[in-house]
Amino acid sequence: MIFLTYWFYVFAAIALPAYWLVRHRTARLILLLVTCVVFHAHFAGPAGVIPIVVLAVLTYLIGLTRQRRLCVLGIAVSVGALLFYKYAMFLCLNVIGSVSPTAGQSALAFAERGMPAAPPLAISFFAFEFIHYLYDIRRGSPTLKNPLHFANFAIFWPSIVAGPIKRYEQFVPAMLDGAGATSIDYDSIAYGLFRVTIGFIKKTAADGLTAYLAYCLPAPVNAPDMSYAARFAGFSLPERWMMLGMLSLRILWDFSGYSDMAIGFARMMSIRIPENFNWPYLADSLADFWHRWHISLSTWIRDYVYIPLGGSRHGLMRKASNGLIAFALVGLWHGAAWNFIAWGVYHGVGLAIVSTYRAALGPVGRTLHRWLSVNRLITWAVTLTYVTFGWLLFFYPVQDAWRMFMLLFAGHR
Amino acid sequence: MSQSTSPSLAAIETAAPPAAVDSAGHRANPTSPAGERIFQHLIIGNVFLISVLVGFLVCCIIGWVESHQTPFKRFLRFHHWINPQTQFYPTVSQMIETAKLDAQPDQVLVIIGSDSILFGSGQPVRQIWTNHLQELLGPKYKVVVMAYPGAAFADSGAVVAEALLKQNEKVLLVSHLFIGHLNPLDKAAHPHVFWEARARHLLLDDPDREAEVQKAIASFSEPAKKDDAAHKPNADPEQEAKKALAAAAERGRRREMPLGFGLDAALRFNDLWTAVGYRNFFTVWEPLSKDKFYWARKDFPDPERPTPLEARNPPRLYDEHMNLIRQWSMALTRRGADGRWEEDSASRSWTDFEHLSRVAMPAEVRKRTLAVVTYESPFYRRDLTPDETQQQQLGLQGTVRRMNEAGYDCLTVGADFSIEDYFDVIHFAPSGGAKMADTLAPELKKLAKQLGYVSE
Repeated sequence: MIFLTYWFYVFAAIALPAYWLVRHRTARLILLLVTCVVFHAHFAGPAGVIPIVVLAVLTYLIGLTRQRRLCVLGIAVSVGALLFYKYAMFLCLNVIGSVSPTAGQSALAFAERGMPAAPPLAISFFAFEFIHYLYDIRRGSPTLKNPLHFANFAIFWPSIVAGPIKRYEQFVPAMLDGAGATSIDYDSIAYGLFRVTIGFIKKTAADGLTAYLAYCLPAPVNAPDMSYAARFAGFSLPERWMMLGMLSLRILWDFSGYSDMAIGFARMMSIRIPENFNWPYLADSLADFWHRWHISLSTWIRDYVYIPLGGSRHGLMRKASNGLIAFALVGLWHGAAWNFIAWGVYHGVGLAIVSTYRAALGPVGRTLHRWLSVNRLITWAVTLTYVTFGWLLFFYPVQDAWRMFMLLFAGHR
Repeated sequence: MSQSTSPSLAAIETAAPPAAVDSAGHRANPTSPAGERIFQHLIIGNVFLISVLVGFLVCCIIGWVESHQTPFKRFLRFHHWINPQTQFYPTVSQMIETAKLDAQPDQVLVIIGSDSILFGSGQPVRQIWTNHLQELLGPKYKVVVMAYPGAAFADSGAVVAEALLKQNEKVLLVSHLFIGHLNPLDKAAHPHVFWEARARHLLLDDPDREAEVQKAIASFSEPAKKDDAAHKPNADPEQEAKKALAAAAERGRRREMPLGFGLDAALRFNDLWTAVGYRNFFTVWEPLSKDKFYWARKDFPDPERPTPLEARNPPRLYDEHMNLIRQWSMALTRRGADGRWEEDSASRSWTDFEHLSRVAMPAEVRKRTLAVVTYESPFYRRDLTPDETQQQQLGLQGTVRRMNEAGYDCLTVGADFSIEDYFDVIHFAPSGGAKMADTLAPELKKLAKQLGYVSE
């Protein structure tokens, strides 16, 4: 965790006061860029920085031209980089390999020739932000002409690690507003520090849960004779439910803790970046959940995948299939494995049911909808249960997740 | 080229909207989350920041105070619940203060260093071997156990002994090593004591060791290398990728050590949290304490219990232990031209060992160190072939000779011990511990006399 390293503490202890000591806005933005470069170079290393710099320069230059075809080309390059660095192994072994294992191995060997030892830091965030930039320009949004503004948008250090995924039309004004402050904004610094502290507490609690769950359900690589599900079966029924609850808290605290820290550090420079979580376990419907959970990702997928695919404009079936595709991508964004795709599809199916049952079931559906709309406690409980079961798919291979789900209702040890 | 001018471009890049300012002068934005609005109406920013700063300074001061005293009451050893096995890392300053606690000015401090063997794994509190050693040495000596499981020959107690020597204390060190094996600085399992002492300037100057330290620091910063295991026919690339990530994370942790301990030397946060964890509450979950993880560690007793003889050498571990014993000597010997086994002096194992024995600690500490190499339990040794026994003897002799040449006083223990004297394959039962004390006490007295600590 980058925000919990000693190097980062020293970095922040220098970068944040220096930011406020400089009074001129442009000088402050130059300083901000210098700190972003130092941060990115330290944690990503040369092998991680170079692909991002190339992508960023390309995106910036294409943006300046405002040519629609070049924007498409730029988007394709960003998508290609993401596929290559993050998904090459998955595609070679699980997609090509499922047709021909030999071809999959050969493709992987070929891909690995150009691949660094580790993928560039936060490649998904970079790719999504560059795609958003070029897509919006292609649709007529303004270009960032000032390279300083674009560079700060591209590698803004608080959001590199785990988002939120920024939108340049929101971020740049917020950045200019923060950098333009004429006096030290103590309120923002105090609130930022408060958010960082909240994030730190969440992350610490999540790490404790992670350690506990890894101890109870060790990865089969360390215990090859026991699958996750076989280990899970060794616990009593209440313990299994308790572990499911811990999984839910772990992912929430871990992810939202990162976001809190990112938002907090940005606020310590008086820069507002969007909220990413809004009490998601209080959601009373699945749609509401996705308005509260990883908001920057769900809105990105909505704007750049779901709506371009047609959204809800072409009938129920098309709406449902668009939703499934969008949510499969939401799942895949979290990691290159089938269980993430299955988790996304699980939510896509849930949303399809929620958004179509009223029309599909006719009068029964309308009655049910009226009843549910006045019994919010029930819809909240159903939503929470559905989301919580979904975390089994998120964390464990599909077969294990299914068996673990069944074990939640089986009395035997 | 479809260059278009956009009316909102200027709005984005030049005329940022001002943040809302409420009647109290706060920059609370009506669209902010409720938490922020509440925070900004309740808290005055600069007062909050000053409070945080003052709180931080107070914590640093408490940390400094804690680093100049020992939190450990009725200390006997760093047992299971107060050592790194359970995520508890006593700081080097607290270890030093613990070693000095209740020591008389003229007493010779006999620091027991290294690992589980000298720690007394398998020996309950009342039967720990160092009690007998203290009896044999008498009141002119104070035996202090600074060993804990997993610590290396030159770590834990050795660092404490060196720091005490720098403070002009009369110090002897007893430390254990395995046959032909010393850990390099970048490979220690629990390296925190050494790095902490170095950052706090508690160690003696030793240019040779410092050169090793610089090499270790450079190795921590090496970029990740492509692991060619993924190309091996039977390797699972996804598992290999996970292993590579784990290795990178471990390298990252090591890379952080010098900076982290440098910060800690100034701010003393480790001393503060160790003291809080011992006296008040613990904050890190770890598997051994399970649902009692938050308990103050002072409330956990030393858990070492006697083990019945029949449970000491379980058959399921026999092959593993035999392989271990064989491996220790294998790389150190070779078959000579006459068909007999001989030391393989040119082997990498011996050259590394010779180098590490000289850079492990400064000469002033080496000459105050009784290095102990132990035999394994006869339960296993009796099953070695004559060739394997000969290899082991050569390995032991080579280890002792090289340690003596490097300036240590080195001896072997356990050659004539019985199966009953062992708790398992390498650790001593109370009877074996007592025999070890019988062997070491005269050597320690001789060493103390040589150094001029005592007259007889």
